[in-house]
Amino acid sequence: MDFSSIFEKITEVTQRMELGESLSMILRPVFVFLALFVLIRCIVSLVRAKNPPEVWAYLKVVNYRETEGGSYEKVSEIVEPLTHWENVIGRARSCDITIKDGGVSRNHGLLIRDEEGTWSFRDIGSQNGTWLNSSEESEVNFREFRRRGSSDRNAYLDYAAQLNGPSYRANDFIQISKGKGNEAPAIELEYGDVLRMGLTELTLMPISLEEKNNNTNMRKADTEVMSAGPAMGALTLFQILTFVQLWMAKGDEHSMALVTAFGGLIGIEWLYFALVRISRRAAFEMEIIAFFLSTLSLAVVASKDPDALVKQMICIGVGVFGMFIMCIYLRDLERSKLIRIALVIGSVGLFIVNLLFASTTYGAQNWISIGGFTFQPSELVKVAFIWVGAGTLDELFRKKNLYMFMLFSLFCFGCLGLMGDFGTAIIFFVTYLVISFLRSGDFSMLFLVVGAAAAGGFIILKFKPYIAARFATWMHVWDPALVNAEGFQQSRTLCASASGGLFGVGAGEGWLSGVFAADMDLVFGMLIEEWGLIIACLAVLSIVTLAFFAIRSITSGRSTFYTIGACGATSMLVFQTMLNIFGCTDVLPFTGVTFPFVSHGGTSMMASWALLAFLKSSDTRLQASLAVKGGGKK
Amino acid sequence: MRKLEGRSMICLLLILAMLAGLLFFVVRLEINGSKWASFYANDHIYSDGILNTGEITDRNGESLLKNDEGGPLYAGSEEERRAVSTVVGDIGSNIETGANLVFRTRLVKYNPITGTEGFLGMKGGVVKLSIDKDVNYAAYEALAGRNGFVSVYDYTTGDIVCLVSTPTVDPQDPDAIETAESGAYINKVFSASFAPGSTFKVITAMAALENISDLESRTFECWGQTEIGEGIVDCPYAHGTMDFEGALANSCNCVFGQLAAEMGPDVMGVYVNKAGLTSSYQVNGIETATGSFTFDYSDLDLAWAGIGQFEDQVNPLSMMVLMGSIAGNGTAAEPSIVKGESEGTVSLVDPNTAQRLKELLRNNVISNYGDDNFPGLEMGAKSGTAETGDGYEPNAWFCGYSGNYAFVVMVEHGGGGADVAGPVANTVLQKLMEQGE
Repeated sequence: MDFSSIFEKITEVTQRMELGESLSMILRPVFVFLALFVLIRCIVSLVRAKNPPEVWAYLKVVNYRETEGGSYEKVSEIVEPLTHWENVIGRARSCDITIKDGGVSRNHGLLIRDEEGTWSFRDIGSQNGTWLNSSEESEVNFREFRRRGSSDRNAYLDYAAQLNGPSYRANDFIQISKGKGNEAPAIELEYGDVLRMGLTELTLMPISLEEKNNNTNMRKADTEVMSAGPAMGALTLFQILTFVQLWMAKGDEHSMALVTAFGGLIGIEWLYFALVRISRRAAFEMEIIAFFLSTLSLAVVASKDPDALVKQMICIGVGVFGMFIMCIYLRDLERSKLIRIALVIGSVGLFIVNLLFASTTYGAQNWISIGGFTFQPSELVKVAFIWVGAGTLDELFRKKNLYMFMLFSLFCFGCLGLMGDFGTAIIFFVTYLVISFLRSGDFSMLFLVVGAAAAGGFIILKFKPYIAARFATWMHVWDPALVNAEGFQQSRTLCASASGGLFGVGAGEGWLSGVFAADMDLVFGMLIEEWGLIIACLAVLSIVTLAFFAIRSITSGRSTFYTIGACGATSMLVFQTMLNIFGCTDVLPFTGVTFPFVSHGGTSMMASWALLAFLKSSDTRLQASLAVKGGGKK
Repeated sequence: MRKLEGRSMICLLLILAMLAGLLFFVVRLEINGSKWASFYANDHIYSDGILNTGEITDRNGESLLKNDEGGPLYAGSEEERRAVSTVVGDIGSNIETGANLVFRTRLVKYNPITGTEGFLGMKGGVVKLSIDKDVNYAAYEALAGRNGFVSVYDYTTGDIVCLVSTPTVDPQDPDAIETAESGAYINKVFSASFAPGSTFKVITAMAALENISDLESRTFECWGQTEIGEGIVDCPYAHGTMDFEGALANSCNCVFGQLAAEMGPDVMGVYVNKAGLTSSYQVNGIETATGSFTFDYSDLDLAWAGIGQFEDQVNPLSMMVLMGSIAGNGTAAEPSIVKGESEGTVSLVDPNTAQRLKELLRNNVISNYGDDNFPGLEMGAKSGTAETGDGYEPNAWFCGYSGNYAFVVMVEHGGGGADVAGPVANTVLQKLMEQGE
């Protein structure tokens, strides 16, 4: 092609294109640039975040050896910082405080700090038992034990008397658990108390004010929180340009809805920003990621169903508000634990109401309509499910707690099965697997459960032919017999995706929006078609980043309640995203679940924001997260 | 807490699974993007299921079909459009081998960066076919409303410069499939097979040259009919005494029937395979039809099969490539319908045999069909008159070579081969000369 013909072509192109088209063409790379700017900042900040450990107390560990003469000599003495609220003490390498002493059991006992800063110890069934020597002089035979969570002093005194016999002397070590695998109640400790297990003595030591300040300074140096301004600015610009693009694509007809929805979103965003700043918290990365995804959500809704725009915006607002409340609530571990019973009862009630009154929509009976407002109970139960599944370390070593979660899970699977909502059932199931593995670390259990589920799956396939058909369609969506039947949605998704290229055809300019459930189950295809492969992949990477951060936070987590909550919530988000993006693109069988934060759907949007609160509660950077108390009171 | 660090690997596994799946999808998208984007549901490039982007031209860049938002536009008058319809394809994409269907992905010109949009709004691609619009029109005119086909290709480059298959439809405004003339939606050169008649004697000759050592020193006598097996094979009249060269020039059924019977079914089977008549060609991805033969029924049927009757079925394109291979001393370029995109060469005949067959075919023209009928050409050819068994006139075949071109012509129910199909071949080749090639 020589110069003159290139010139001719350019003239031809410019003549053919209208102003709107040229603007849209310029905007598309700008969108990609802005999205990259916002997300890379957040991603880098979250990935680089060190989550510096907090030190809550020290534990002096002294090992003894029995000499030939029958006396004991000191072998080693080290002081270990206690960086979590919940610590396992034992011989195993996986313990938080590992003690090299054959007389100590692999998982010997738990050292736990409560909300008020009170420490307690509980033997979780050691072989040789544990002894305690109080630092306080005591005139009476038995020092004052206080049993955690119970004021029944006499009961405990009886227990200690049984163990130690009536000939107990003051200032001596008293046996506080009888060993041989028997669990014992928790005993409150004071600084200076010495625990003896095997030939090792552990002394609980307070952290001095000076050390505390040093530690705070160290954490301050290690805490890197993204400055929110540039990202917020870029995100707002992204939203304004999205509005411009959609206005051009959709015309004046929906201008009012577009103004309200995008204006509302920007308002919600800055209001939230202000609220968090007033609460003197600094971390915004996760929220900005969620706001970015919510913007895409408004864009796909505008493209598919502009009449639903304002409602979707309001649901984002409710979701953000819900998250804010949940963050504040989660600050207090005790009340977070207590509310679980209420959540179980509420969830059971919701599911029962669902089963009794729900209307069947497209195969699954999972919608309730109250006074014109429809919602999906299963989405709300997702949040409760994570909440109930999370547990403190102490609870993880109590079978009763695990059984309760198992029963609740079974109930959820059963209800979802009865509703015919198998996509959501799989999400619950995988989340259950992750949470129960986090709780028990038991691989064999995992295989057993998966095996049982596979058997159950076969039965479902046998009795639900439409699900078997989805498996038969999988990887065959282009077969002439399927392409306009069971493979219709997937083949359209792939076709539209390929049309988008890296930059997309522009928001509101795609045709996939004309296909059923495009803004829900096929939303990934809509993203690629209208926004391009780069932004669609960034949306997926956003979810990955959230998950990665949750996993990283374990190293400095205060309580397993928060880390299990965060890991459970992200696993749910990740798996749901997988089912969504791989189902519609024929990488996995089509399940028809939503893309968190992005798909059209109010309840789904609110649930996504609520799940974000669990992530916030695991962010222990200094003065960063809304869901974490500043430094912990003494 | 530390226990959870190890256990959290399960969450990491989930993340890895998602990233792996995403990578898998992106790779699949890059590999299949062109195919997926070209699907007829894609409203970016189809209007009501009809492609609205891309252009098809002839070998000189003259537009044959231009797709845009206003719908497909076929160039020229109705007759000009009909002349290229089987190659270009109709508006409804009902012709399976039509370029508008087969080369759809090239017309869409998908690229992974901008999808189907093209760069700077320049959508669509151009497919430059190897046919010459004017030559095709000349061939269409020469068929003069009769059904049949004409195909010419340059056996040195593989370019098919002329391809007409009649009856035709007006691609811009085609008759409904139910009401259209039978065969109007088929490219007979690519997708059909016919009884070859006497043109098949070239294959029998090829086998005889290599399997009967004293063939060229033999003399043959024809009394108008000869007994083979339990029946007779007959000629239109007694050819008298002749050598092998004369037998081919006379297209003597008695001689070739006997030769086939003498060589036996196995040898004949080997040679139809060797000549490429039983396998299909890939013409820029279009799979052509294959021929079929039955040699092992009885000696009599073998004799009839040896002269192109009985159950013989030959695909026209494979016959044309065989002619190219003979003219090219054994080797010919694989045919291509897109200009300059032949995918290689085929060797169908041993060089020595090819040399001799080339002389024999040339002799056919000189001693039988008449060189004067093909002025300015140095042609070698074989005619055929294939009985159709339906009471109509037989099909007239004419295939051969001239210069760098190999050709095949057939006029259905046309009657005597050389007299009917020969002039069609001449008209087309003359037009080609005129075009300067």
